Formats: sequence, C-alpha cells, structure tokens
Amino acid sequence: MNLSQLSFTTDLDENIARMKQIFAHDDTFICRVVQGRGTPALRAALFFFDGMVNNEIINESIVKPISLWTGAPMPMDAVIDEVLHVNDCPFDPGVDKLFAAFLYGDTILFVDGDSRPAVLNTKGFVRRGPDEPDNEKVLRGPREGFTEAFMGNLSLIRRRLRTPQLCFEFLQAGSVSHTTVCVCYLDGIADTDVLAEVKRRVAAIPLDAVLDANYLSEIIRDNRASPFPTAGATERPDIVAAKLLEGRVALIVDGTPVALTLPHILQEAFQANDDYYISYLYTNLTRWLRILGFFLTLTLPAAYVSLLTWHQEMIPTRLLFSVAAARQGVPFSTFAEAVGTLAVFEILKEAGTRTPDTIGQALSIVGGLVLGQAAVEARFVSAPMVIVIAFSGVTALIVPKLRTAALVYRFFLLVCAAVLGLYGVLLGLGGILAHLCRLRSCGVPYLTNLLSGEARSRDDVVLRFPWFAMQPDHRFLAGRRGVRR
Amino acid sequence: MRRACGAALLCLLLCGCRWRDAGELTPVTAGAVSQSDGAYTLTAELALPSADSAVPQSMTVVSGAPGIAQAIDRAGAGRDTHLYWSHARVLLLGTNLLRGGMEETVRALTVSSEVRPSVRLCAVKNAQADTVLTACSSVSGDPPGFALGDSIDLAVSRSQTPDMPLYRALDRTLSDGIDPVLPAVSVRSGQAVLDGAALFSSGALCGWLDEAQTGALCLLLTAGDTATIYDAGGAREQLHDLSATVRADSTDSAPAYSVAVSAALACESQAQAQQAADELRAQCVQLIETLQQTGCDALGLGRVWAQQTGETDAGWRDAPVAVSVTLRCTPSAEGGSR
Repeated sequence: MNLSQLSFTTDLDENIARMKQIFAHDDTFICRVVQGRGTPALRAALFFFDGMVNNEIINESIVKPISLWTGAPMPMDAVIDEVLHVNDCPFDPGVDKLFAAFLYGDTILFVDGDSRPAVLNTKGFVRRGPDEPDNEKVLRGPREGFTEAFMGNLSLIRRRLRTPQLCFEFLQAGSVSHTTVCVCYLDGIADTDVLAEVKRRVAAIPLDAVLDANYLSEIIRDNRASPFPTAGATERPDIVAAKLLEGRVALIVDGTPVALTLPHILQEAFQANDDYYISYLYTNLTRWLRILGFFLTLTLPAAYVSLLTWHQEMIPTRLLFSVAAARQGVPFSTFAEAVGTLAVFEILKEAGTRTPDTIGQALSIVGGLVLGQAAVEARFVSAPMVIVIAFSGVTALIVPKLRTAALVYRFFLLVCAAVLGLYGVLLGLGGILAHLCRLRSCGVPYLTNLLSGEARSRDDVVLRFPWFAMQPDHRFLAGRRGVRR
Repeated sequence: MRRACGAALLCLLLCGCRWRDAGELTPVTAGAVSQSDGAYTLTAELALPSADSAVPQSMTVVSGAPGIAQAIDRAGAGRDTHLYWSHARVLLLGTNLLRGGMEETVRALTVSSEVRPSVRLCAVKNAQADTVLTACSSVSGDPPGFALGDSIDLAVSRSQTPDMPLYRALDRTLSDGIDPVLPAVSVRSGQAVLDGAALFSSGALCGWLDEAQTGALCLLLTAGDTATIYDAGGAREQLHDLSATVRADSTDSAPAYSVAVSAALACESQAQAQQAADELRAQCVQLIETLQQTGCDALGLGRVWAQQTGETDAGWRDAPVAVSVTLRCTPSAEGGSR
C-alpha cells in the first residue's frame, strides 16, 4: 500500500475505517475513540501501537483532557492549543512524516469535522540504560555508552559539548526502514569538504534498510575492499565528542549503539579509549606496545616459518636443537602446521565470541589448554608453533580496531614467507605499506601524521603529549578550513 | 581481482618448491678432517633431535674422498635427512693435513655454501683428528664437539688461545701477509683439551706453542683490554688495561724490533708485579725466538721488515728484538688492597 497517496476526510468514522484497514493485520495497532462532555460533544480518535507509547502520557495528557472537555467541537489546531497537554505535537505534518512518526511511537489524533491529523509525541518504548560498552571498557574515565535509543544518544553527546556550534542534521536512509541518520559535527571546526562528502554519501545509500551503523560504514567508506578500517566506530559518547573536537564528522544511526566517525586514519587504531584519562607516560608506553603488538601479530608466524624453512642458519644453535626436537614426529610441514594452527586459533576465538559467558570460560580452558596440550602430545603440532601462534593471537587482541587487517595480513605474510622466506616477508610488508599509502578516508590520506607529508598534528600520534603541551588548534582537521570560534 | 587470485594460487603452489624444513635437517656440530695417502677422511658429529628431549643425541659419521668437498658431500650419503653444516662450531684439522698446507682445505671449506665462515679451526696435536673429536666430553647435554666449540669460545674471550675462525684463516693464508696461528687440541687422560697453538709458515704447519707462549702470543695479538699470562708454576693471571705494541725501530745498519707491553696486574705488591713482568718478558722473548726459528710471521714482523728494507727475504728471522714489559700493581679483590 502506498501511504503517500493516502488522504483523510472530515468524517471521523471514515478516517478510523481507513486506518483500521491499513493496519488490519497488526494486532498491536490500537484505536481509541474519545468523546467530550459538551453538547454537541467533541469526538476524537487516537491511534497508537501497544508497547511503543507511554500510556501515562496518553491517559493523562490526551484522553483525560478530551473526555473532560465540556466545550463544543473545534478544529484540530484549536484542540492542540486549548485541550491537549502534550509538549510536542506537529500539526498536519504530511502523510509521510505522519506515518514515520506514528510507526516510531507517536500517536495520531483525528477530530471529527477536521481532516487534518496531529502527531503527538508519546514515545515510550523500552530502552536500556547507557551502560559501559563491553567492547570498549576503560580503566578510568566516563563509563557511559550509547544505546539503541537515538535521541538518548544525541543527548549524551550534547551533554559533553554544550556549544551552539554542535550541529545535528537528520537524514533518512533505507527505502523501507526509513532509518534516521544523524550527521553530527561542530560548525566551524569540521572540515566543510568532508562534511559535504559525508552527507552526499549517506543520501546516496541504495539499501532498503539500515539496521546498524555497519550497513552505512561498508557503503560510505573509502577503499571498501581494504581490511583496514577507513571509517571509525565507537559506542562511547566521550570518544565521539573528542572526534568532533578534532574536526571529524559523526554519524549516529537510529537503533544501534554504534556511532561512525569520519575521516578515520591509521593512528586512531593505536589510540585506546582511556589514553586521555590516565598518565601520559603510561599512555605512551602502552601505545608503543600496541604498535609493537600489531607488528608482531603480523610478522611473528611469518618470521617463524621463514626461519624454519629458509633461514635455519639464522637460528641460534641451541634453539635449533630445541625446535628440531619439538618437531620430531609432526607429520606436517612448518607452513601447513602454521596455517592449521592459526585456523584453529581463529575458530576457537570465534567460538569464544559467540558463546555465552557461562560456557565461554569452559570453552577457553578446553580450547586453549586441553586441546593445545593434547595436540602437542599427539604430535599434531609442535610446542614452539603453539607458542608462536598463541603469542601472535594474543598480541592481535591489544589492537582490536585492526583485527580484520591482522587476520588477513597474517595469512598473507605466511604465504609470502613460505614462498620467499624473509625476503618474501619484507616484500609483503612493502606491499602492505604501499596499500596503506594508497588509502584515503574522505579525502584524507590514511597515513596522515605518520608517513604522509600532509601532517596535521604531532601531539597525539605515536606519542600522546601531556594536556598542558597539547595545541587544540592543531588537532587533526580542526581549524583547517575555518577559524575556531 | 582474477589476476590477484591467480598470483596467490601460483604462490601457494610454489610453496615448498625450494624450502627445506628444519625437521629435514641434521645439524652437524663439529667436524674433523684428516689426511693420509692423499685421501681425506671427514668425521662429522651430528646432533640428532630426540622426540623425548630437547637435548639432541650425538653420533658421528665418517666419509672418505680424494677432496674435502667430496668428503663433505659423501658424509650425508645414505641418510634421509640433509647434513647441515651451518651450525658446526669447530673443525679439527689433522697434523698430516696441516703439514701439507691448509690452503686447499680452507678454500674448499669456504666454497662450501653451508659451512659458516665463523666456524673455528683447530689443529690436532699428537693424535688423530677423529680421535680427538670422539674424546670430547659432553657438557650439559650439548654434543661433545659443540661443547669443545664453547670451550674454545671461552678461551678466546679470555685471550688464552688465538681467535682464528675460517674466514680469518683464509684471509691470513691468501692475502694478509701474516701467518695464521690455530688453537691446538690434544688428548690428555682420554679427554680432548686445548693445548697451546699451532704455528704456520706459508700455510703449512711449522711448529707448536705451549700454553704460556700461546698466552703471550694472544697478549701481543690481542685487541682487547684483558689477557691471560702464566707464571712459572703454570698458574694463570689476568692482565687488565692492556697495551701491547710491536714496533720496528730503524737502527744504523738494519731494522730491529721492539715489543712494549704495559698492563695492570691485580697483586699485593709492586715487587710481585715486577716478578710477573720479568716472567712475561722472558715468555715474550722465547715466543719471538720461536716465531723467528719456525718462520711463522704471526706478529707481522716480516711485513714490517719488507716495508723498511724493501726486501722480502727471511732476514726478519735474524733481527734483534727488544722486549719491555711494565706491569702496574693494582689492588685485587683477593686481598691485594689489604
């Protein structure tokens, strides 16, 4: 049914019939007719969905005032002004907006003798509290996280940036879902080119439904085939606020706790959420550990395979004895052993992620300890290989934003190592670097501040300067186009 | 995308075309080469990995061939794993082989792609090379030859034996103009032990040094800060802050050499230091006389002679040498300061 061609009449009963016909197969649809005490009486009809509305508002602010109204019937605008006790009630908004709001928890009101409906803000569906996101926990600092409630998410940002520069612009995405996407930025700080580009990309989304921020991310980000993320994602309002202050644009999608930030560059992958809430000395040490960890997770299995298959002369003699002893009886080549162990590790990791917490611990013990120990004793794999793969897997966890890249390129470098040894690993790393050099995010080079000549700020790259040495005007894109106000 | 997938598939197919898995290798930890009747005999000590222990079991294989390179190749014949020479720590060279000249052997070992240039060469004294190899004793589970390499490393670090890996021996033999000196190993009480050094002249074995003379030679050759000397009773003492110079002094008629050694010795009195200096001076004089007698130009005296006189004959072997040794007494941890 094409709702945009729907029209209403001044006859209340006919309007009720049309609405019931539209939602005939929806048992949560409720129609409530209310009549005043005047003579002749004011007759009105309310339409709402059970579970989507705040019953108290409907009873106290709509039904009760109308049923106690002793005056004569009046047009809708007069009812809104004189009878109802509702703060937000757009009058005759148009059929599309009317139904969009209605389907999202608002109530439609018709009065007899007037064909123009009103939309009353009665949203009251169940929502969870702004708990700390499980994936982005911090040692110190704010512990609020976004929820699935769209307006609540915006309020979490607004509370942190109390400035008129903070802008929320709503766009619609999804031809069926009509999901509201909020483009959030700081006027005068955000790059206008980036902002225009983001809006253009969101407006051009061809999907029928946008149920999560990742739907957007996969379509609007640059270099979609790259395993490196070129759009940031976070569930923390403080992170979004910080990104906005740096001149980035955030996209808040209705119905998901994940916000996207653009542009997203490589250095952000090594920044932890609480980097800015704890001592800068500790932060800098751990940031370097994260960089080292990512490098190790990529290269450790490849380097091990290279050394064992191509460059045995580089292995210290006693270590060679030890490794050779450990590999006795293992029927697979080092390369096959590495690929197999990595695959098993990823399977266990995936199983752990998908398993409820109560079973997860048992799975970790069975998978990590029992299975590993049994595999070594049964000579399926050698103990050094288990150590290398486990260490590589653990180091991957300290840079969660690059887990896809770590997974893909770890296998890639393994193949390079098997084909050409350490020369292959170096060639592979060169290829990855070349790929990184090609990446851009909304026109901004991905290696900005790291290798790109277009350096924008140096006080929060490989080192996080203490707050007294930070230069707010030099933060990433901030002030690039306009002057900070 | 199709090309990338094709390239990736090709790479995967190429995996294993050339590689050699560590499990397919049998590391050789030490070797002994001897020569008799023109044929080379190579004894290789192998470290066989054991599934039950990180400590490898050792065994020796013997091969013979008319050339050293063939002997290396034949040593691995009949085994299902490849003999891997890169981790060999020490190569023992038999006396017969060294008397005939070690240039061919050193060249062959250098050409072999797997023998590491840093492998230490040792001369075998008063025994067969393979006997010495089998007389080595295992230390902490390491293969015996490997343990012998460790003990040579330790002696080199203490300046008790000359540091002569393969690459340096080749350099000395072919181009340097200074004769090589190899650590000597012999068998005492059924055990392989370091026993002085072997002297070479024009690449051929020409004499031996005892432990004290070897210590003095290392002192004069040393580039480090410390050296070991031996007193009359054979006890070792450590010198520090060492400075040793060998200089040619032009006199009216012919060159003469002066050797000056200055060092600190941990002892209780200056008289004790003076006594040690006198002993060291005597050892140095004896050493240089031995070098001159055997024609082993390990200190570069002949080269200095040639530079000063323009002659390349063996006149340096008769040139007078003056040795001065100055040892300073420094407090020792054992009570010298008390």
